[in-house]
Formats: sequence, structure tokens, C-alpha cells
Amino acid sequence: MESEKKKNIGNYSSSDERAIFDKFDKKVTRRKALSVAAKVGIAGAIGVIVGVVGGYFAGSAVAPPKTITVTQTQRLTETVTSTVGAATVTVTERVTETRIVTATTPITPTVWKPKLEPAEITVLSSPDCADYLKYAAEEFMKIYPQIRVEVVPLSWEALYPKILSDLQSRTGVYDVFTIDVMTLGSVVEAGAACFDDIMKEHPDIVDPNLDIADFEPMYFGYGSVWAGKVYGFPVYPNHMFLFYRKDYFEDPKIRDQFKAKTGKPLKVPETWEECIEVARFFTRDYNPDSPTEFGIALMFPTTHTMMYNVLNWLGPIRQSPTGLSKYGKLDLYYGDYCTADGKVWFANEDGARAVKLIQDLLPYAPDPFGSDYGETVAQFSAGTTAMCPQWSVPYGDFAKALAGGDLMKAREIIGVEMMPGIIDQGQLVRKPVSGGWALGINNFISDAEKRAAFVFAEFATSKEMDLIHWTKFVMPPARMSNWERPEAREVLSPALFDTYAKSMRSLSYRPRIPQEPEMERIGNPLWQDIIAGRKPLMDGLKELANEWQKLVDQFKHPGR
Amino acid sequence: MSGLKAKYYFILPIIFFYLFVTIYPFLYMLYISFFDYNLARGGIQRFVGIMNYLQAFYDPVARGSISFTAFITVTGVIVETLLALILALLVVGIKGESLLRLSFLIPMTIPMAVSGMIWRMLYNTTYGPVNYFLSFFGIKRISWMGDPIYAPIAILIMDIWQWTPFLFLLFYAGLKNIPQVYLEAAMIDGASGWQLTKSIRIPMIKDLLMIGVLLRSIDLLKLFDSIYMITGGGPGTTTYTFSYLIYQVGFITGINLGYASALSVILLLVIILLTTLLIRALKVERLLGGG
Repeated sequence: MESEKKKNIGNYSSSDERAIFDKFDKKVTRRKALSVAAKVGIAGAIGVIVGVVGGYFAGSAVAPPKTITVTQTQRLTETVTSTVGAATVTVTERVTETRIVTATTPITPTVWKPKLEPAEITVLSSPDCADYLKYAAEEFMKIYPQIRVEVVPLSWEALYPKILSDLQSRTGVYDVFTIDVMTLGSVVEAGAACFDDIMKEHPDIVDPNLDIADFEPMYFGYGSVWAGKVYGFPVYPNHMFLFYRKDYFEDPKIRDQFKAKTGKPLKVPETWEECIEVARFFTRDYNPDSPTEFGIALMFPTTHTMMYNVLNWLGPIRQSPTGLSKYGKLDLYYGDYCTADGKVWFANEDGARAVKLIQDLLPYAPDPFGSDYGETVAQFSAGTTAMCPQWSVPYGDFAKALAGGDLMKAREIIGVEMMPGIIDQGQLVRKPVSGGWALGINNFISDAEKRAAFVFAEFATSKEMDLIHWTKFVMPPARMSNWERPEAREVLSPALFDTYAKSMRSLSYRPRIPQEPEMERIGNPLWQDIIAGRKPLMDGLKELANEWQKLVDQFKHPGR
Repeated sequence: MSGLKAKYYFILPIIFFYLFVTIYPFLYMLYISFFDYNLARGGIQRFVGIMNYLQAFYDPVARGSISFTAFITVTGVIVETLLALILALLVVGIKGESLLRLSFLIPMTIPMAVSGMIWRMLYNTTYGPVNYFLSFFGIKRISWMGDPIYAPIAILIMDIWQWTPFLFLLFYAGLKNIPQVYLEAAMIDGASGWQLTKSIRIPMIKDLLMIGVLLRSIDLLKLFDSIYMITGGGPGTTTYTFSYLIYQVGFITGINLGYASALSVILLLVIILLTTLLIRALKVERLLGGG
């Protein structure tokens, strides 16, 4: 596991971020953050009821020691595999006993409270971070009553131009803002405050427990560090998963049908080729006995979704051993669409392969070009599809729709796995697309506001709050120390948590250069034309690559 | 102070306000249309002359958006005008007129954000009532938002649904104001229903017909909200109107204010040109206070 992690890290070549990754890599391997799953879960489903976070007032010198209490219902499950004749039969025997386990994990209270002048700060937030940031703001104002924090949620589409126009015009309307990982370059160029400079100028507001090295290094390096300098603290990391109907995949009758039809055992697909076969089986037009009408919920609209979703197919090819030898190590400025030296690489047979893998899946999806995030979530929630590649956030919606909100039941119905990939040189390469948000600060605000904004950013991304946003708001931890907490695993779905951990270091990346928005404007509709076959495959890929190359060439790489 | 002078002082604040909120932004837009001005790349970069304007003619997406805007404007105006006229002619004087009149107006009163959501649900490929209804006629599921043939039709249907009531109201009001004496005189002379419509009703509301066509043309040339709510310009760029393209370039994925400003200036010039031509062709200067 550790050597695998090192290998993955070794794929990144950006000079300045490289150093950061090296530094953090040592820390990660030492902590063995990713072995959480093995430590905690043994072949069984462990139920969770509540992660109650009590009496937390970080920073208050008078606050009592804090604890996180987790009460969990534990069900012991035993899996027995035996051979009957030629067939291997897996029997899952359930409920040896049910018991309530209560664990108390102490959280070291932060006895640190810097002196801040009265100020009002406005936080511009993406919708998925907004509830948590509102909560964080309330808690923050309890500690610092002289600071007023207002959180303004805005849709993704409105948020990004709003941040940029505010920074460009230097009006300082918004003090703190959420930065989508791939927009970092443009936000920095527009005038985001450099955290290194703030910490240098105001050492008194740097929390002794800040522990920057505790931030998950890939996300920190990708979403917060630009040209070797820190411009934000990660709020939460994210990436895409393959959600599937666990109840169907484990149903002996359905498994027999699959075996009879394909001659293979039914399993959660690991490669896109397998996914095509499974999706076909679960599509009623091709299998009248299918419990679902369609195999998979796909989204290839002309929106922002296109830019990230395509990488679930292109990323594994780009980062396969063959891809790395052909296109060089990944540079996090350019991401997976480019070679190490910033050349758009996919106008060739490798790019065509990725598109064909997508195209082969299309017949098994309800409406791939007319669906976006909301539609695919609805399709899986309604039981129309057996699989759904999605971000983590809709898990709550799935649990509500398919299990009536019963999280225990949801674990039996909803399965979570890493996004499928490809086999290359005998190696399975899976690279789900990464996402996530960091908290940045406006450089064009008063000193008092900047100090308050920085302390708020520290507070909202602190270890304690980082755990709370997972337990209360289903936003995964950005702190490695929280990935080691057993109670964090138990909160929602151990499968989801484990899959997070598993894919955390095996991701594909969008470009984060300032030209990225223009790449989207050109790319989103063009990708759809190519995937839908409205443009000849190779011609379309060449056209897109040429257009993108013009934009990528405008970027001056800070490391060169 | 003379009365005339006082009048000028009184309207001065309005003039300043107008200059500040309309003329200044317009001039600034004109100014930045000659620059490479991209918010994502650090704001104003350099003077590029008319490059942004030239780009609009070479940009295949811009050309496609012009075609779609022309299609939706011409088709929308023709269908909506005819439909509204027929409805108005049918409704005037029938039993339950006021109830029908009221019900026809409902779509127009629904905010665009709400009607957009409603139509998005209606058009949903998997669960939408439209496809469910069509399935009774053996029609297989249509991807209203994902198929380049059906997406423009979906936009057109929604626009007809929402804006035909406006024209209906205009024509209905005109028909109601026709002096009864003309119709009675014609009936005494033995005019048939069709003759009454052809020779009296339609000529009497001709001015309103022209105004209706003009207003809807201007509206459709600027069509944005239904595209934003339903198709997002897709599939591909099939349903990009010129306004939607400006939005995409200037505010969403592009943030290229220089190019977006040039596109806006072009749209403005096109609207001015077309409306002038329409006003002349439809001979409505008199109604607008001209000629």
C-alpha cells in the first residue's frame, strides 16, 4: 500500500508542489492514513447511529475538554465461501448479535484565542459548503462576538464570476470565499490573498494547532497551493464514485441470471469494459428480466459537468503505465488533459479509446445528453438505474429515496465503489476525477477584516471542525488525522469512507490554469458533439485539442 | 428663474441618473470591447482593436447562435401571432369569455424561473409527462433536452405556451374595441362571419398586430431565460441564442468580458437594424410617434 502511494505521488512533476508532496508523503506513509479501513472493518457491516459532537468551542480558553461521542449499533456479519461441485458459493450469514457500542474520543481543546478588532466579514460560498459554513460562522461568533460573519451561498455558475469580479474591481465586498479546486489559478491572478504573507505579517493570528501538514497533501497541493505559495485552506476534498444497487448485485437470483447470460459471475465493475457488460445486463431493452430499466445513469450535458466527467474515462488512460510513458508525468497545473510539458494529448487513438468506452455505455443510460447532476441523482434514487457515477454528496439523497432515510438499511441497498478504470500492462488503473473546495481570502480588504477572515478560515478548517463537517454535513475530512478516527468511518457509510480513502491518492485532475474557464466554454459543447457522434471522432478530437492548445499555450508555467 | 429653466433643473437628476446607469455602462462596454479583457486572466490585458468583433464572425458557435436565434424568432413570431389571433377571434363574444380569457393569461403570469422548472420536469425523458403522453401513441421516449432535433422544438413550444397569451391579450383588447356599429352594418349588408373577420376585424386591429409582431421579435432576438432554464444551450451548442452565448462568454465559463462586450454591441446593432427595418416594413412609425 505504501509503495503504491509513493508511486502515485511520483507521477506529479510540478516543481514547487512537488516539494510539498514529498514532504507530506512521508507524513502520510507514517500515519498510514489509508489503512483505516483495514483496522476498523472486518468483512462485516457495522452500523452507526449517531456521531454526536458535544460542547465544542474551539479557541475558548475557558472551554471544557471536548469529546466526540459515537453511539453505534454493531451488527456482526460472517461471510462463508465454500465450494459446491464446480461452483463457488458465497453465503452471507447475518446478525450474530446486535449491540450498542459507545466510544468517547477526546479532542484536544484549543486554548488559543487571538485578539481581533471588531469586524464584519462576508463569506461567499458554494451551495454544498454553505450549510457547514453557516454552522461554522455561528460557532465562530460565539467565540469572537465582536466579529460578525455572514455566509452568502451562491450557485456554482454565479459564484465564480462573482469572486473574480470582486477581486478584479478591488471592491472587497466578499472577505472569504470558497475556491473550487480548478479555479485556483484564476482566483490567485485576480487577487486572492497569499496566506504565507498573512502569516508572516500577522504571526499572532497563526493558530499554534494549525498543523498545515495535517491537510491531505494532494488536495492541499492541488487546490490551495499556487507557485509554491499557499492561497487557501482545504474545506473538503471530494471525488467521484460508482454507486450501485448492492441489493441487486448480491441477489442470488440476479447473480444466477447474469452468470447464465454472460458466463461470468456478477461483480461490481472494475473496468469500463466490465461496466458496459453489467450496464447492458441491467437494461430492460436488452434483458427483460432486469430489475432496473437502465443500467447506468450518465451525464454528458453541455455544462461544467462535462469538463470533469470525461476525465473518469480519460484519466485512467493518461495515468496508465503506457500513458505515463507516452505523455510524461502529470503536471498539476495542466492536469490530465495535457502532457507533462503542456501539450493537449488526446487527439489520437488513446483519446478515441476513451470516447469509445463512453459511447459503448450510452445505450444503457436513460438520457445521457439531457441529464445533468440532478437528473442522474433522480434516476438512481428512483430505482431506474442499477449504477450511478456521482460525487459523494448525493449519498444522503440516495439513502432517503431508497431506504427511507434509514442509514442502516441504506448500507444494504446502496453500494459504493471506486470508479471503474482500464487494464494496462496487466495493471488495473482507476482514476476518478477529483474535486473539492478551499477557503480563500480577498486581498483587498481592511487589515481588521483580513485578520478576522484568516482566523475564521483557520477555525473552519481546523481539525475539530473538519470532523464536524463530515459527521454533520457529509463533507469528507480534509485533515489526515480525521481519516484515522474510527468514529469518522462509522458516521454515514463505512463503504463510502473506505472508498474515499482508497481513491484519495488515485485521482485524475482538471487543469487549474487561469485559461480553464475558456477551455470549458469551448470544450463542454464540443465534447458532447464528439461523444454523441455529431462530429467525426478523430476530427472532433483534433479540433478540440487545437482549440485548447491555443489557450494552454497562453499559460506561463510558474515552475519554468 | 423662468418656468422653462425650472423644468430643466427638475429633470436634471433623471438625466444624470440615466447617464450613470445607462450611457456610462454602455460606453464602458464599447471601450472594453476593443480589449482583451478576461477576468480569469487578470483583467484588462491589451488593446486588440476590432479583433473581438472579427472573432464573432469566425467563431462557429457565434454563427450557430445567429442561425438558432433567427429560427426561433421567425418561427416563434409567426406561430404565436397566428395562434393568438385565432384564439382572440374565437373567444370574443362567446359564453364563458371572461373565464377563458383569464385562463389563457395564466402562463404569462408565471415567473420564468418557475415555468422553466415546470417545463424541465415536463420534458424529463424518463419521468416526464410529455413522453408518458406520447407513449400512448406508440412514440418512443424523446430526449427533449439531449437531441439536437427536439431541443429547439422544446424551446419553441415553451415560448409559444408562455408568450402567445401576451399577443392574445393585445388582439383581444383590439377586437373588443371595434365599434359594434361597423359589424352590424356589414351584417345587414349580408357579410358572412369570415368576411367580417377578413374585412373588418383584422383590418381594425392591424396596428396592434404590427406592434405585437414588433415586440415579440425584439423579445425573441434577446431570448435567454428559457434557454438557461431548459437546455443550457445544449445539446452541443444547438440551442445557443446570441444572448445565451454572451452570457456563456462573459459570465460563466468564459469570463471573457472583451469578447462578450463585442458580442453585446453586435446584438444591439442587429436589434436596432432589424427593428428599424421592421418598423418600416410594418409601417408602424405613426403608432410609435414617428412619420
